[in-house]
Amino acid sequence: MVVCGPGLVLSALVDLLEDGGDTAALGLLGLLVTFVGAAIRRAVAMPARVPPRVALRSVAVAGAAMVAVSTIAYLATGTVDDIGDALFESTAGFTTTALTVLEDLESVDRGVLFWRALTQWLGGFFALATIVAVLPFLGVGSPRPREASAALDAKHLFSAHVRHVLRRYFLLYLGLTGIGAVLFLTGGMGPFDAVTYALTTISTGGFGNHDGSFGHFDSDVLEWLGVAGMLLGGLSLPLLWRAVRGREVSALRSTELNAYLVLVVGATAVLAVAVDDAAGLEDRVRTAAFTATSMVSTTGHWVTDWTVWPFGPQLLLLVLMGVGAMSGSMGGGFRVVRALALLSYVWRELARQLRARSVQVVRVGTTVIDEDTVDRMVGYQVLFIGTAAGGLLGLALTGEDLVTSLSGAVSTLCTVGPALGDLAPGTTLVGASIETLAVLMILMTAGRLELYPALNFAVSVITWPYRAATGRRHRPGQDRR
Amino acid sequence: MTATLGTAPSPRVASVSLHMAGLALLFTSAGMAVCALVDVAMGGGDMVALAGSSLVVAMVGVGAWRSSRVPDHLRPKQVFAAVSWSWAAMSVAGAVPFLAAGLFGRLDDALFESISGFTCTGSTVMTGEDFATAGPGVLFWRQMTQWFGGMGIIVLAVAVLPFLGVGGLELIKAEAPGPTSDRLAPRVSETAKRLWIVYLGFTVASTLALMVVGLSLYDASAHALALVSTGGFSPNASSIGAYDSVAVELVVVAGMVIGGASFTLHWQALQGRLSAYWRSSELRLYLLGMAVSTVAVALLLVDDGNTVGEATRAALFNVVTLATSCGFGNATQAGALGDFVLWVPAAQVILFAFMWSGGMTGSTSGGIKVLRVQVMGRLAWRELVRARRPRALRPIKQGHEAVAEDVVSRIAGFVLLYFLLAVAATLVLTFFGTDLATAFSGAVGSMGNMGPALGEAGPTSSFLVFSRPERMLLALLMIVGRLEVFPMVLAVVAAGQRLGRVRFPLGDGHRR
Repeated sequence: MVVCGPGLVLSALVDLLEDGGDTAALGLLGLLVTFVGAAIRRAVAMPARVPPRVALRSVAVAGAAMVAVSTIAYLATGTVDDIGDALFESTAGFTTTALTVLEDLESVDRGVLFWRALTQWLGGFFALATIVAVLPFLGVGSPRPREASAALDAKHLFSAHVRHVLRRYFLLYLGLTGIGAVLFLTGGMGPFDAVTYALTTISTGGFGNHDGSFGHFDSDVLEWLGVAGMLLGGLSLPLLWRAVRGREVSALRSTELNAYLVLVVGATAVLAVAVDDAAGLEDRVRTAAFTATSMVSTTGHWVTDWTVWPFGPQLLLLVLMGVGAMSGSMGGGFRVVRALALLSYVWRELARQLRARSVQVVRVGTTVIDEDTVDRMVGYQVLFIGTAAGGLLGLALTGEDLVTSLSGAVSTLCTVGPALGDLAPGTTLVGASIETLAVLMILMTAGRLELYPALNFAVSVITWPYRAATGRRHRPGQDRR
Repeated sequence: MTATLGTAPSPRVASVSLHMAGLALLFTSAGMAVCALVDVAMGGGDMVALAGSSLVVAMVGVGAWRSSRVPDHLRPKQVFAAVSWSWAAMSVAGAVPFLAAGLFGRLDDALFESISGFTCTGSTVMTGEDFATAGPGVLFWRQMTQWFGGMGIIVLAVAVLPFLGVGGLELIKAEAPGPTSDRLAPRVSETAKRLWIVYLGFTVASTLALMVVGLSLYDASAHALALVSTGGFSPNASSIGAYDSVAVELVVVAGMVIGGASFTLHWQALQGRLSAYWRSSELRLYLLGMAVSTVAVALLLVDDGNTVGEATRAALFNVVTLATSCGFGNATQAGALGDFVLWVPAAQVILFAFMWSGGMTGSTSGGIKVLRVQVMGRLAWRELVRARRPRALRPIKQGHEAVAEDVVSRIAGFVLLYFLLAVAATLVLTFFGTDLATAFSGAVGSMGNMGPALGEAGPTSSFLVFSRPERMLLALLMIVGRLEVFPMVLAVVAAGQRLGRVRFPLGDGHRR
């Protein structure tokens, strides 16, 4: 509850920017939200100590506040009539997922389109800020593994250090977006398209201003630029920062970078060979590169309907989504560095089976991962698979077929968007049942916020009756017989 | 497996692999002889083929057995290799009668059927026509492969693998019947004797129960063989659906539930300690999971427009058949309610979850096993709680005892390896052109030794929907899954290490 002020202020500022645009409704709303946000921020003081539980909760609340504002925006401008649909569009935006309920995007008001792109851009940074400030204990996946199990208190949450780091990343993010916009502009887009596509590409969001996403432009140059933009979006900002400043990059990060590039290039090669729907070789490689990058960086832009591809490449796309982008980037998914550490972990357990008493370490490249972090990573993996499985069941319960459910669950959990089956690229969810939308929204949110805040909330809800009944704090795992 | 000469004066080769494989072949040969007798009694025409196969296999088996001995010191690697090689030898031997009797014209089909049998999987490549023309003796042999497979698995699952700590199975080591000696060999032989008594008794009891509900001696015994081993082969093309009888289905369900439960517990119960059942949290979860899922699936089916009775019957049978990794079907024909590939997606997802989990540790069922699922669930919960209280230290408990962290770690390693292998195999299958649902469920089902899969390879279909190379991959997965993943993977790694090509690239400190 306490920290939602900044989040609101942030979204309000953006709304303010927006009122330079088109609709009176947006401008008014912007002013209103700014006012409310500022008021809340003034009215509420930061407590001296924030337990992790509360910090996680506040992330959820801040996210919810932003989504609420955006929902109101969609309703107020009349873009969407249904509150469920508006909620979905907002959630998809802030979670940088490329699923939409809007049809015929070309006829939608430009101010709204810009706001849509902006939600993704903000959502991407919000997620990164969450990881830096609230979830440093995520260890291997987080930008600063050294502070793996540091206790979380208010000092950390809003420490000068965190602010400093965030400001840095924000500048970098802004710069990248600017570069993206300039590139798209020179590649042949109009100024409006260039900016909005830069916003949704660098944030690995994937919203487009056209029903045909990147395919709309039908331009080779733009598609290659799109590949570059998505690749940048999936890059680790800490790494990029050090590289820009000419400092040495840590071994862990460079290993991850190598793996990330190998993953993209390898997938491109496989797809280019296995899929032959495009005409020439260059065409095939470009389509493959675009699709592979879009999946690995979890962006969700598309140039071709991959559901008509053979089954193998389709599943490969699903696996690529699952691995996801680099840690410390705007992308989602399981993250490359975790996947590497996981492989090492499995290998270690295999080796241990032969020599039970030998001491072996889990490492990524040459960097040894400490056991505590390994532990958490494995726990995270189990949670990740468990959530995906839950999503699969949830979607199936709403009547989606198996392939749609499975791919939809993976895709939204990794904040990609388009999937296989009925969720083919270019599908809009207009007319989808509210249950389907709800399941997808939960998955997106959970995936975007690294599971913990959302699951933390779920745990609070689940254990609430118990806590209420016994009148004491629930201590899971200790009360069972 | 290279055999090295021991230092003892004995002329025999000190190879536990050869020794065990020989022994396994002798058992197999005896089974074939029994089938030859069955064939004669039932008036089939395959007596010569079966007896001949039996003789050939017996000769090879005796040769291997007599020419080798168990070395004085056993290393885990050798045991893994021995287990893998015995299984391979049995599978090859099992294919001989199929070829000799002319059930299959091709070696790879016969091998697939044999592997599916010995791993207690129950996926078949027989067409409806094959079922109609096959003789009673060779069909009985098909059932028998599963029974033998089950015999091997029960010892593996209760004595050998936990002893070696495969995938964290040492958790159940303390519960194993028999002497808790540090030496593997006496422990195995003692334990095996006791378990086989239970196994045999269970087979006889099932046969009798099936006869009581109206099956002939041949049908009852044939199904009992595949029932106690949670195999799932049936001499009928439409499996249990051929009888279309609630009574038969109930008996089979009861048999499957017992077969998918821990034989260690059964042994303890027979010793008079019935409370062993209720003290096992794994058993509670196993039963609870099946009960809850049956209700959920039945509700979904009722919601889909079926009557409550029909829905419950179909839900109960098919949930249990997958939760125990048995794989019998109760669909009377393609399109009947028992054909679960036609169910609503949510019901199929529930069945799919059981394809992953399988039954209890210490049973003949396949999959990840309830125990490991339980530990992984607790691991995930702990992780969540830790996010709320970073400094809390919480052991993972199983029953009243905390599970050692390295055991938890091994279980996690097992589950993740299992998951990775399943995904990798699915990827390969889809690149061969199989659709996603069929490929994923086929790979998971084969690794979990289920039998039927989803999509095209449902209970009224067969694995003929997969192409030949795909079937070979699936057969390999069956063995990998059956031997709890680690032994096979390690056998490959060990072989590679000997060649000097494969190193442990990501870890070190393991090479002397």
